[in-house]
Amino acid sequence: MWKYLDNCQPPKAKPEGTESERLKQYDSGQRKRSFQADWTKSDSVRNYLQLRQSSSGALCTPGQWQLVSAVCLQRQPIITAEKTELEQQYADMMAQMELETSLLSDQELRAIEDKAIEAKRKQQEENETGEGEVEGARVTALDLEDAWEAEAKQFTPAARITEADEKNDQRSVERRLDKPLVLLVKQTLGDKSHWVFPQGPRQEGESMRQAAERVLQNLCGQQVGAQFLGNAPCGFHQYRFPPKASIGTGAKVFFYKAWYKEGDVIPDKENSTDYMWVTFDELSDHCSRPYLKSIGNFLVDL
Amino acid sequence: MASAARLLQVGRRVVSGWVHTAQAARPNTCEICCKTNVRALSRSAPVAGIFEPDDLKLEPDIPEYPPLKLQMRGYDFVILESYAKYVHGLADSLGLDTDAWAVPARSKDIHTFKPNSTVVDNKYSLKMFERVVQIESVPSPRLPILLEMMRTHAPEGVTINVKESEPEEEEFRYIPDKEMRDLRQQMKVIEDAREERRKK
Repeated sequence: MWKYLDNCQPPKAKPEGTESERLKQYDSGQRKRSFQADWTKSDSVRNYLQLRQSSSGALCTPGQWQLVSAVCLQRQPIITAEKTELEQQYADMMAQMELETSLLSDQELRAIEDKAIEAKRKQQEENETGEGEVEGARVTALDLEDAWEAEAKQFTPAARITEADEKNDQRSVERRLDKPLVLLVKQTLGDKSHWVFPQGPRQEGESMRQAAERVLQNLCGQQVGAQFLGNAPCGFHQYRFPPKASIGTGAKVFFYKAWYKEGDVIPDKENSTDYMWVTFDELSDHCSRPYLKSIGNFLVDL
Repeated sequence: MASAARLLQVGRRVVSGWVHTAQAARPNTCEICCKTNVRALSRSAPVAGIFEPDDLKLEPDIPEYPPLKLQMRGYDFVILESYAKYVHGLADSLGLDTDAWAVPARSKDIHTFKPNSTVVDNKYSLKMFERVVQIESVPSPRLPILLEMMRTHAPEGVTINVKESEPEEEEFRYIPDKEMRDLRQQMKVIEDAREERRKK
């Protein structure tokens, strides 16, 4: 067996020009009927075969892709989400089952003792009306419970639905406290403005993560505090520039996830004109479909 | 010695009928039929050959974090245990080497006083429970995924800490041995007495 493995020849190198041969088999040439469209000339097929007819008719070179870093700044939820109806029903059922299989707690035993003592005292009162043994005033279980309830009422928890919710102020971070919010920024890319995660091209001498940090500071202001999660990007998106603008073939965007810590977002007027904090459901109202598809791969919500 | 070897050779020829030559590129293999002579007297390395792979790596391709501890603390025992169980399962499913343990709880006795007096109003006895999941050989792009999932599923009342191990925390896990401590104390007393007697 060894000798067969050892005698293995490397594959013979294919001669040059096989690329055009591969194309020829897709080119039907003269046998087409008049009404048959040439499917090899459709855009999707050409894309698949990685061909693009330039004006000179030659195949295009791989192209100049701009490397862009984007920041997905997430304000994580502050309060836990409310249970759905099914979850509430299940929780109630489990609580009931737990109660039924549990033993009596100290408080419940105390309440039972109180009742026994009360009954005994009443009996003694009935029997000997004159000389009733007055025991020391015992703090009953019910008294304790009343005291605790009174103490609990003094504490008022913060509201689940804040002012920002009521006004539906999409620029506020206090908006939906039970859902994660993500920062969208209105950036002019080319001649149109889009709602995207703050993004910017990588400059010479910096890593993609450093580019992401710089982009966040520049577009949203120095006071925004963010905790970046690792040096590796979490997502990827690619788009082509219009062929008229000769700045390259397109851009490859690498997304970096960061947790929002503190600070107000102040967009600088040059690159980013506006901003908003949106939940994952609201993203589809503002972003384009291919962008949403790329983003959806790394956004995690319950 | 020589005669013994000769006898052995003869013996081989008689028994097998066909001598397997051992002159192939691989030791102990016949060139003709490529069979390994399993009747080798010794299976040691010079005879059988050593398998030395060429692509042994001392370091992983993707850099890894040192062993990290995911410390979960909370006052509510039920919620904490349920969450620790989830986190352990999550780390396992992400392909990390995990180890999980419980750290002894720390008690707190809290007394509230009535305003402007030392009369005790309320007494609370709280216990801070702790669970730890240790993860090893974490590739660097994988930790953010784990942290993201942990944060998404974290219940209220649980504090999470991600850090490397500290010696004081390791010490705290051990319950002090009372007998040992008492015996050491006795020994110390005896030695002190002995020293005093020597001085005198």
